[in-house]
Amino acid sequence: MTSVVDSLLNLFSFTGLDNSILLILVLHIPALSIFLVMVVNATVAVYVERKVAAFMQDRLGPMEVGLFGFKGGKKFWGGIGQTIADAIKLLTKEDIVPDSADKKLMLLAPFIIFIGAFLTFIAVPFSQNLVVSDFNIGVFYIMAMSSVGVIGIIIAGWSSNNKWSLYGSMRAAAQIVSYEIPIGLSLLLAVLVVGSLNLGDIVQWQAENRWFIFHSPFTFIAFFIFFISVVAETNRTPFDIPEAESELVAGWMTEYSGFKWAIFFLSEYANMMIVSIVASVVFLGGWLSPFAIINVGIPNSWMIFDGPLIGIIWLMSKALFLIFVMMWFRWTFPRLRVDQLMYLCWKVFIPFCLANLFFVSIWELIGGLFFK
Amino acid sequence: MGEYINNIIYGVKSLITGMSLTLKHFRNKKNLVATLQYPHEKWPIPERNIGFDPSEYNTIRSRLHVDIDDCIGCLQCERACPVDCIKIDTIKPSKGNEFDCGITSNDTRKKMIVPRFTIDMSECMYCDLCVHPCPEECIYMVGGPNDSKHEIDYEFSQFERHGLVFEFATATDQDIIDIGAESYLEKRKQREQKLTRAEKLEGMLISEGAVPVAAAPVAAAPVAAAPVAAAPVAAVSIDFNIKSIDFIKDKEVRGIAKKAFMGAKRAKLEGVAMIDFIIAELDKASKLDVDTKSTLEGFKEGKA
Repeated sequence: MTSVVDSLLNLFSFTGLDNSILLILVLHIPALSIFLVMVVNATVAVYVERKVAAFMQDRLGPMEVGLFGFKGGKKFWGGIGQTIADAIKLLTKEDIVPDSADKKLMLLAPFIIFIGAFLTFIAVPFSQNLVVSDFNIGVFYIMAMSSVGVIGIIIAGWSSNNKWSLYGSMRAAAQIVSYEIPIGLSLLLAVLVVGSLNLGDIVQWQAENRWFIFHSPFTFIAFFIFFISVVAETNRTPFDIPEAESELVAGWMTEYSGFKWAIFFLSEYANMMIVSIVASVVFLGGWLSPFAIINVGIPNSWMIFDGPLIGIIWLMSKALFLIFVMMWFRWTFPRLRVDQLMYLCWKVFIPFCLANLFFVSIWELIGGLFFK
Repeated sequence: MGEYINNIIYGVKSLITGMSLTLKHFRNKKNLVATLQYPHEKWPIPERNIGFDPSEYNTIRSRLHVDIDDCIGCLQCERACPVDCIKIDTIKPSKGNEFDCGITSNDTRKKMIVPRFTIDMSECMYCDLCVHPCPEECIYMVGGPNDSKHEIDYEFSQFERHGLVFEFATATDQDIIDIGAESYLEKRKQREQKLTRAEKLEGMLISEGAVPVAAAPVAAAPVAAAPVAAAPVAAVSIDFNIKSIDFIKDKEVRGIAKKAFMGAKRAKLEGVAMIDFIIAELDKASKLDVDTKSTLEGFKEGKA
């Protein structure tokens, strides 16, 4: 598996520049692409989320704003330009900073959160060979970088000098730190079985054997623990106690408006995308076609569906489905109380994760004894 | 331990139940959607009894309507209206003018044309008093007994307040000219201009430029300053506003400077001329020190 940066370095090697200089020049291309992916993802996801919410509640959602005069049908495409109008509104809004806020930190916080999401994208593969940089420790790197956001959240809550914000950020920190443990333990199963932290290797193992979710009953449970935990990690309903509207106005985002708030929003939806892609790559076969679920009795000719180019479609459809499921969660379940949230993490998920770890190890051991 | 496991099983079951319920609504959206896209679609008028018998007829759900073809311009309704919400203008053909004003549906030959027949429904109080004097029965409340003439309106909502002033007259400008009343057109034009001007003064209309009334007398004052100010403004575009004065630390001096700024603004001074004016005012109050002066002079070069 090669990475985008490597390919670009090869492509531009004819210029004869020193590799370190070329790298700095070339890096702008994936950086801009990631930013573009984040922006497009947020724009589309916000619109889809509003429509999904509306349909689940027997409403129609945005229906008035068209796009360049196009104002689609009566159902899904009705208000297709709404998000763009909202984005323009957000970017032209006044940037309000409270008098008693810590102004420097308040400015810093959105960028820390944004950088957390942005850096995570470096190791997130979109298809075979379509990853900005192919780390040997991809899983570990993603875990580490997605934790950077917590610092931004605490800074945002503290610098706003507002009790709602502070409560929100404290809750967010407690929640995210707690839920990182089940996430890490669930990903550890894949690492344990495959013997590599490289996401490419994990997918390669699934191509040779089967989707990791079907590896054993324990990994099946692990997938659901992982998915519910990442919903909590991204602060989405039903785990949205950090920004619980009915209790804390908007939690740690209360004092933010305009462009800074737009950055929070961008990062939130980027995080959704990241965790969905990671879940797809580790548990659902990444860029492999659904025919590779069990790898038994499939004619070889069907494997044309498993190219690197078509892989991006498979991976994105899996990830988008998971994003849809997150929206589905959001409009179905009521918010958990703080104690329920902690109960779920520490008393349900973590024991189950530890048991999973134990049993998967046994499974591998026995499998190794009997099937080799 | 048993309760712990049972709780988890119960939890998973209820999650699945909840999610299948929302999925059902998500997929059946066509049948279940409750939203009505109001300005585009409307519910049918409810078929309840709004008093079709004249004695029960509830005019408050109705609206005045005029069949202008039948109107002979007798002004009876205008006189009857207690709140003066009906305004009618009429023009008689001058002697020797053979203009045909038309015939009403009661075979009455009309003697004049009606170039204006407005009803301000925001003022109308639904007293029905204008309806009865009409000799041609051309003004009436819609719906109820008059349902055959004009069915009841769905609603009275309009996007703007002006929308509630209904104009029923259909006489064209050509008709008015044919009948020999160019002076009426002239008068109407003047009246409209007067109205627009008044609205601009009240700030109800946002005009494209300066207020036309105010422009004339003020224009003379800044003529002297304008050529001086215009050249440097075009060259460096001085960034100088009332916040620029905040660099002055002493409250008293700052107050005088701000007062001078507003004075200069009122006299339509701009850029360099304005700064000169402020310096002069400060000098007059003998509050001008070297630092303040040099900073203010600095603004002239365009450094903020």
